[in-house]
Amino acid sequence: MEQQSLLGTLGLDWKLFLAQLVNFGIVLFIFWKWVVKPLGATLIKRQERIEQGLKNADRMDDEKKKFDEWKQAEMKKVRTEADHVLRTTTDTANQIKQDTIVDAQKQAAKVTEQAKASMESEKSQMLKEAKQEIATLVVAATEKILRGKLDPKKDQELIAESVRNIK
Amino acid sequence: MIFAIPPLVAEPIFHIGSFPVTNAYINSCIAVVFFLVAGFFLRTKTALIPRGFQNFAEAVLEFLLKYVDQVTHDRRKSMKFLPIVGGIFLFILFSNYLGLLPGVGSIGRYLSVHGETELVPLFRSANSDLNLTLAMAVFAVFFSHILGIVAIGFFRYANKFIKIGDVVKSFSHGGISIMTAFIEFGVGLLEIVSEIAKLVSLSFRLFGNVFAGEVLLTIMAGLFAYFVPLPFIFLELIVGLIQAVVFAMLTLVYLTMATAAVHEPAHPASAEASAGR
Repeated sequence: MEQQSLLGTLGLDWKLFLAQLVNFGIVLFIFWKWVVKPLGATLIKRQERIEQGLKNADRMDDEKKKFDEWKQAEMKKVRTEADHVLRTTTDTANQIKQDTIVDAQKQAAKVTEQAKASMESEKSQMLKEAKQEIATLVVAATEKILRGKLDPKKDQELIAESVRNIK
Repeated sequence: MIFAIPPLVAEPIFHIGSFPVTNAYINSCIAVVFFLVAGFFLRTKTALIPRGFQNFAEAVLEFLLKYVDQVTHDRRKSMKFLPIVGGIFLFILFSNYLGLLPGVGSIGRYLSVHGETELVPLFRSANSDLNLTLAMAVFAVFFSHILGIVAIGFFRYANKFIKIGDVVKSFSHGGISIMTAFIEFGVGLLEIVSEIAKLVSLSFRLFGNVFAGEVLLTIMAGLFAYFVPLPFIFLELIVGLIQAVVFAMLTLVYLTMATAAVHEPAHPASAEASAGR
């Protein structure tokens, strides 16, 4: 009984207790259902978005770096190749030039040689013909001079001998 | 008599049937309406780029979450406890500050109390009614037990208090462990007492602080109406915040402790074996 009066003095009343409990329950329910749940989800969603964004930015940076490196390497490679091509081209051109010159010189030498040879043969031919002509002339002239003094037999011998000498 | 010291018990203003609507209950209902309205506005505010009210609410929520994290060390647990702990904190804080507003304790009806006509205030700080503080304490402790049972199972949770399982197990080990088990059994029974102590301490601490504040402010205003009560109103602002923090923190600690995994006492045999290794 004393316990009862103590609780009564403190104002405890099961109806009020229940009513306050319900009030408190309503507040908790509202706070949970209408505030923490949607806003908590929003906070998590936003955090995920930000993390995703940062990750994307990092990835972009990485990719850009990689691309830059690749570009540098590629540029270097291309430049080396270009140098190489240029050098090869110059070398080839020089070689061709050299070859052409050598060829031309050879050709020229050959032509000169041929010209010389043909001139030589022509000259000897002409000399041969001239000798023949001269011999014939000499024979004819001698014959005319000596017609009367020589018999045909002697004449023939003489001609033969002259010809032999000419040769 | 204008400066009547508020009585220990909240006074009924009117009755609905046999239900007494007390001035503290009216304040509690005002708080409920406030949370209903605020919740109603926040219900659909889930924009990724917050502004205005949503921004403020998110700031409050993150502030609370930071403190809850410090106790739980686990964000998922924090999100689970936040509705209870945060709700308790905000409800107590709002109720306490509502009780400090002018008009609370001074606007009232002349009613006949114990045969005398007295000015009975229409509003009274909600937490200066033991019914509410006890209701919150009962809810907090009861909920911690429910969460504990859900987290680690009924029998393992019950074994925290009635350690019959440990006593039975100890017989298989024999020797000193039987004695240890009986001592542990006694400790378990003490745990039950401590659970009741939790209820009493939680509810009476809040009730006592808020009620004492009410009395203090009334007396100070009665001594000299101007300036003298000002520092005490500031004091009550701090007390209102601190009491909300204390109640919420203790609830959080109870929840965390109840859901923590049970620390199994190491078997003497296995302990020896591991020591010998």
